[in-house]
Amino acid sequence: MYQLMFNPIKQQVNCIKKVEGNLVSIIPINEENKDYREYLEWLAEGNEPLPADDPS
Amino acid sequence: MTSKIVVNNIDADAGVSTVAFGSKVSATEFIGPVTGNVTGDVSGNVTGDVTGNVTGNVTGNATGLSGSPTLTGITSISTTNLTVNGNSYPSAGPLSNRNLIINGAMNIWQRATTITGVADNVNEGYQSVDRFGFSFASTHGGACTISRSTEVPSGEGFAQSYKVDITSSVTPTANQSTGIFTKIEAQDIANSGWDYTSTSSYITLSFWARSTKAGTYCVFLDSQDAATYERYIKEYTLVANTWKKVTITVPGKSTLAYNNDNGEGMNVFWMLSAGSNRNTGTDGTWQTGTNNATSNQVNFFDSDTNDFYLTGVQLEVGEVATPFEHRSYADELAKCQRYYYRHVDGSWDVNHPIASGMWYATTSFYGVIHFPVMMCFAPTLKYSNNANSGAFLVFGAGVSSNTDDITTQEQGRTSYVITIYNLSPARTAGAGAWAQLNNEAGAHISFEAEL
Repeated sequence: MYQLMFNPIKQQVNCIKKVEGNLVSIIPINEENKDYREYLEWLAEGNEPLPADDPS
Repeated sequence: MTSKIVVNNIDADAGVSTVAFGSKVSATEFIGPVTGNVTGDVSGNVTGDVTGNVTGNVTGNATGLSGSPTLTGITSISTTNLTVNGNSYPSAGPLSNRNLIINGAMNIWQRATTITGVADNVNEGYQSVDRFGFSFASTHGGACTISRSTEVPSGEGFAQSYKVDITSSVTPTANQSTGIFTKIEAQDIANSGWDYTSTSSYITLSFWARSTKAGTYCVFLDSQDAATYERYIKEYTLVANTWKKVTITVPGKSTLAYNNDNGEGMNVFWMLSAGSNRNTGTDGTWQTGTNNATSNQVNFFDSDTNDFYLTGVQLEVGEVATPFEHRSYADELAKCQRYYYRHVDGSWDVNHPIASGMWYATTSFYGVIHFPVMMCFAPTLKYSNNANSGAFLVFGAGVSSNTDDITTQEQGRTSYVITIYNLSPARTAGAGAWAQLNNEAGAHISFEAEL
């Protein structure tokens, strides 16, 4: 499952969190990144990420 | 009129130094030194010394070049298949840094040296050896273990190979397929020296393979930037339990394209199984469509006793496979780190440092991590606490706080600002601090920018 991650300095979402078992991926919002492209495909299938987590 | 004189010796008269013949002399064999110039063609074998000039063509084999002969005045050797001491020399491309494949000797395993339970959507892709992944396509069944093996071809200077051990067998159907892959950046093909749009320019793939299952296998390489996706499929045959060096020379084609950028350029894919919609390709030609194998491709997944090994992978410009370009561990690691960088690993040090920085807020730490090489693009941060609570520790002013949560403030190709948050107990914001593992052997922090 994906979750949006909030950037407390920029006051906006700046990355996507994905949890698979004990492995956590923090994915930059950058279409060169294949993990982000996979997230976009997942979104295009009609899925929705969990609400943003604020690490501040 | 013909005549015949039978003698056993012709000698010069007293006071004459040379016996001259006015025209050609024909003989089945000439014994003795030739001290003058030979200006005509020599079509027979020369078994004695040649000390004069040879101005005609030499078309036979120079098998008598033993001892310490010196060849002077040679300004050009033109051949597509020059071999010295059994080693082929390039027909095109550079003389060094020839291998476009990273980690072809399977020496770098930053992630893990064994991955069990590799199956469709489980532990697929890049999970073990650097730069090589494993793919299950279209819900292909079965499972395998991938590991680092010391089974290598004898006398070739390799220490390790990539092993695929089938643990659950299956017969693929329709679009299903499996295989090992590696991906090359487009700009590394575009700038390789291969004139890939010319049918008379070549690139050569060579590798060592071994399998418990004899038969015909397919390997393909492709053009990701072509207007219509194209791949070149080539069969090779393995004898059971026998290492084989496979060499495949691939011509260019006018419709191929490799952009001068950091995107995916060429996949090299070793097929291990292919369903009926994927195995009707043509051997030895560039082709469009969805095939990735020929009908001769074996089903390597047909038995859980099957093992496949791969090492010595080299892709180079030209028509010949030159000797494998062995590189140092440090050089190979640096090349791998463009795509995957293992920053912290508890198996190296259970208290491994993570970053220096400061308490941004009372429960969050910000620190900068610099990568050893520029990564292919802004990478994904990957970490694991190994299912143990409080795996990441932040020290400052003689006290420490811990957490399991990491995210990022800024992401770049050469550095990251990481945020370690939900720290407990809370501290004073603004204080200097450093982060490290909390005595946790199974934790790691990595950055991945694989194609």
